[in-house]
Amino acid sequence: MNKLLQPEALELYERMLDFAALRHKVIANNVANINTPGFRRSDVEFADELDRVLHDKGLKGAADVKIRVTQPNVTAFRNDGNNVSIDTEMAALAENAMLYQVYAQLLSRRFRQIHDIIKEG
Amino acid sequence: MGEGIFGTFDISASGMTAERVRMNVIAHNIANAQSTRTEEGGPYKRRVVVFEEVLGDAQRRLDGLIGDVGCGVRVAGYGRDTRPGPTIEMRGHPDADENGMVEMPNVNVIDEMMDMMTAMRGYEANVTAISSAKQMILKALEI
Repeated sequence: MNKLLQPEALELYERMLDFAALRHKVIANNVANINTPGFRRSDVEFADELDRVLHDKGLKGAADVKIRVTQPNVTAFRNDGNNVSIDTEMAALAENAMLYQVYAQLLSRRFRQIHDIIKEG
Repeated sequence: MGEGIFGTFDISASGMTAERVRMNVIAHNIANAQSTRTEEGGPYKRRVVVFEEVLGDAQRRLDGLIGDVGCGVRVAGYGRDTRPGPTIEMRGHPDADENGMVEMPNVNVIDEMMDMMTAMRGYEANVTAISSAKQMILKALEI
């Protein structure tokens, strides 16, 4: 029974939702600062770390995954030293919103499964 | 400052406000493109708006989060572009010197138009960010 419910999986989805929400915030901040001189864009790293932790520890490691906000070294192509590119940000925004919806959908299905098990199992 | 995903609304709203302020300043520059008199004396000098990033010191710390998350942009202040404007010959103009030359404002309408386009696109980008956040929150409500 415990195996079926797998609370670690729920934790993993929660973590991924947190990550996508934070990434949205960071991208929104990049977009808001599109015209701020000297601004350097930030991004969130999560996937590689998640891969590594899941590989080493399995689902149990989900809670330990660190979410890292970094400033990737992208060369500024504008005179004011701002390295935000509107196309990159909009693409990242769309991708991230989509991913968030996927995670939400996965979590929702997991809950539905648990619900079915309780009702019919 | 809203927490979690709701914080993005504040961030994008700050971006929209900043771009709108910039738009006002650009409109002011264009409106005064021919003003040869100001309160300080001399022709109008174009105004420049200065933006500054707001750092997220009051952010809710997410477990296992490394690094800082910014929380938007604000208008740090207004400056004056002090470069001299072009001097053109306009005999009989009340502000003309003895040679009939008038110093015009240093506003280049084409530059202002270009700034206006960037401000507009910036504003739209922020609106898109808000729409995405709305979509995400609505999806989370379905869990």
